[in-house]
Amino acid sequence: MTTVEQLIIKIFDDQEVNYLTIKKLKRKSKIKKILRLTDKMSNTDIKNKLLPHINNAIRVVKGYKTGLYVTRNISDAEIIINAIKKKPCSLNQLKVYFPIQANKLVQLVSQMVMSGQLCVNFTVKGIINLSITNNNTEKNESILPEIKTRSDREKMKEAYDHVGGGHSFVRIHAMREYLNWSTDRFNQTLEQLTRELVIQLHCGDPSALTEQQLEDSYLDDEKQVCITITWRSE
Amino acid sequence: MNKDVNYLDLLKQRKPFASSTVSDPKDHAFPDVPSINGDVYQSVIDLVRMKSQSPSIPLAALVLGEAGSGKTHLINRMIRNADSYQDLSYRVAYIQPIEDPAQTYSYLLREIVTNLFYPIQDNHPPTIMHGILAEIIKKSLINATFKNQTLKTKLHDIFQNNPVDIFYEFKSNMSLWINIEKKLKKDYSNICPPEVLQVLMQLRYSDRRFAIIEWLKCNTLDADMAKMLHIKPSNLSSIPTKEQAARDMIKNLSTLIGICNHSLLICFDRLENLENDDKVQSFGRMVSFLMDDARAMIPVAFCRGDLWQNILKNKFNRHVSERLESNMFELMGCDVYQALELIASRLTWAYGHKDHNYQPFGKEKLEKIFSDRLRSTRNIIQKANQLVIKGPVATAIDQLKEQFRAQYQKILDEFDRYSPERSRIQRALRLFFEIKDFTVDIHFGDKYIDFSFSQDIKTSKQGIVIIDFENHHRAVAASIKRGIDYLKNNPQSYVLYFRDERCLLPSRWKSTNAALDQFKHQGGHVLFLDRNEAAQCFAITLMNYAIKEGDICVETKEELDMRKASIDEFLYFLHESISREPFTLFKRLADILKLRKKIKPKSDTNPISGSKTKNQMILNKTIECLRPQSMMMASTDNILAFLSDNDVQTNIDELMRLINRFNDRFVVHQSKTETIIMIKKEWMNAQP
Repeated sequence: MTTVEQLIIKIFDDQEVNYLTIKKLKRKSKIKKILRLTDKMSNTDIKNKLLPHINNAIRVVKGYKTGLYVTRNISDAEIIINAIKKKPCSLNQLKVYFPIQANKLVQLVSQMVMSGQLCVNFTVKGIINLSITNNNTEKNESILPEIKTRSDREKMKEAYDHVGGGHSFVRIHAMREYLNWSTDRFNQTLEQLTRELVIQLHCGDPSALTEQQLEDSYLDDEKQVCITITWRSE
Repeated sequence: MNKDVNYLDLLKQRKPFASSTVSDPKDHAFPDVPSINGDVYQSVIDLVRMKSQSPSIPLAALVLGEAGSGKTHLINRMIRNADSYQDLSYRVAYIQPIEDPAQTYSYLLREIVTNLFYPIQDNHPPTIMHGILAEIIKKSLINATFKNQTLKTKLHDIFQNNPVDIFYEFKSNMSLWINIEKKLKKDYSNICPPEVLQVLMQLRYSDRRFAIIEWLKCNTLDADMAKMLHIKPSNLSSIPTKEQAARDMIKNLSTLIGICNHSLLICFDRLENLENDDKVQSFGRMVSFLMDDARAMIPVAFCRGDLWQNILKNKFNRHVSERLESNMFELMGCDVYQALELIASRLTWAYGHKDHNYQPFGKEKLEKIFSDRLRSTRNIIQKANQLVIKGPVATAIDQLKEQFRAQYQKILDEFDRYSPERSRIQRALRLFFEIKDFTVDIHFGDKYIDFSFSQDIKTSKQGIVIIDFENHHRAVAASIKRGIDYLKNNPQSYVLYFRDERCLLPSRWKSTNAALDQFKHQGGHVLFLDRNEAAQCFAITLMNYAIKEGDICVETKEELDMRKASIDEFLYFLHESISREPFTLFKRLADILKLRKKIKPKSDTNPISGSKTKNQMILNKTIECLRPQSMMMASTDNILAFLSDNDVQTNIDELMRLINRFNDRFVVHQSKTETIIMIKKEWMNAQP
């Protein structure tokens, strides 16, 4: 049986998009039927109906003019790149009906321009158009892990907050268990955050852990068994 | 290039990075780097400021940081800066972990008093207690009327320049001291018992200091000591009565500290040593009591983050943990700028000038090493040390030996600061018996008996240990009587009676000395700990605490790498060193118990002879091999290579036979291609 999430992903695939407004989604008959949506329902009501069906493939976010959007569960940067790749446009054009709020979008685009993921072109009328940096194929492949990490970083912070219950010195094995990622994915995210000084790794006391917990902790490049982390900056 | 070599030689000689541990927070050997954990330091100082402005607010704080993050160093900084604030007066008491939860308040009092009697300045007689008392006298006399104007002027000069001088300048002016005592009693007898003021006034007599300290610690005094202090001789009391007396005395001391608007930070460090629930609850009681009843004191606990969040916090009464967490601070790792600042400060210390430009390392090289992550201060110092020292690394045991010698020498140098403390001696003696495979029972008998020991091998040796530092003849006689009774009931057993040489039995205690003679006649052993032996015990106990805290590190054979020494290595070091210098006490004990190994004939050139010794060596070296490994596991091939490198000859069959025999210590994993050996968690946890 197809789930709501799978139905929505199929709609995205059919329309070759990464997001839709809640309003547009409401018009899809299958969705309307499964979720028992009525015309009088507000966007928030629809969101509440939708949330129990969301697992890991989609997310509901606030976007342009605080409207609600359903997007694929990919990073914001990836959504931006795909949109611009489809049709280069100005920032003003991009922000309309986009699933990222204007302030955040401006910040992200600036960062992506600075890091060379996006480039800017001027039209004759002086309008700044955004486009993907040349050597797209090759470049995009190298960008993808970065994008993935950016998204994973948020998930790791969520895991940190959830497992630690708002406290510091959160055990790595518990976060690993919570996220249930592949070892490489977890370790790479941890290493990137360490390099960026976002987190600090701590050795702690190995004798307080079971053998399995020790194995699920993290061995750094200086051969120290790290047991907990502390999130130092956002 | 030549200059670099000179710099390197100087570093090897002065060793600015040799120690990454502050074993004693009162040790100011290396310069402080204020920017490291500066915000946490400032937060604690703000608490002190708040306390001095509103003394009635109950305050406590918790500082979290993993091993090596600078917890003890932060205490060191607070002690170092105690006199640097014009608008703030505070002092610091450093409390070692409690050993006997039944004596919670007595122990807390003893530790506080010991700290109050540290010198204000090194090598100067006035102590913190002199300073507090001088401030109280100043407060009381500053506006008093004097008939003698010359005296008034002289006193005012002293109050303005250095109030503690009053104890030395006017030492023999009896009438002045009588008047001071009267005035203080008049001003403060409603908040502090007159007897406390009367005893403390006698601090001007240096020969009475020991008796004053003992009285303040609520220890029982004999008639002579009581007479010296002009107080009634104390009676022997039960533990609950002593506990109540200790609570009252802490309150009195807090009142005195509060009178001169000081605060006393009570720093509880090394909470890892709260090994059981009783000790945890005991600590909780201390914190609650200090917050509620000793308002001039601020308890500050220093704990490892993981230990607090995942273990200790849940064991505490919620009331206690919430109070501590109301001011919770976390120590941060250092970024590259702080790392370089720390290294620069140590280089400046070593070279004696600031124009070193990070030689011989070079700034760029250091930036490259330290910019990849946030690091603990210990990690930075260790890495810097590895840059200095490249060459053969001594074994972990030899390094522990060296660190022990340093600790022992330091205690000997400042021996007066280590007043007789039963629990410290008890811990060291327990370690001795445990490494000699005795079973130790600390719940044996009553309060006079420290523990019993027994050995379940052929000879089945057993006995009891009595550590007695009492100053009252009746208490001493009661201890000796326990020994005599035990010997009567168990004539084949050993009774070891220990006293510190600083608490000798006076010859006028005739019946007590007769009892001691009878004890000896019955076969009891009396061991008076001399200065060296007491220092050995202190060094062993303090090193044991530090090892558990993860505060002692050893270099490994791999370049740029150090690791924490394990408790097993520490026990092994003790085991191997017992019959050698400087362990004279342990040698004496081994002689009494007839435990010493026979000396091997010189012709025996094989360093490992006898299957038992060889097996032990294989086991020890296997553990030495596994400890630094990831998850403390390694393949049998790697272990065999390690053993071979360390001149231990064996083969896979012998190794596996031993590993399987000691399956309480090791886990064997069989993979497709190799056999993996791992140390078992239970054995890693083995505590003395």
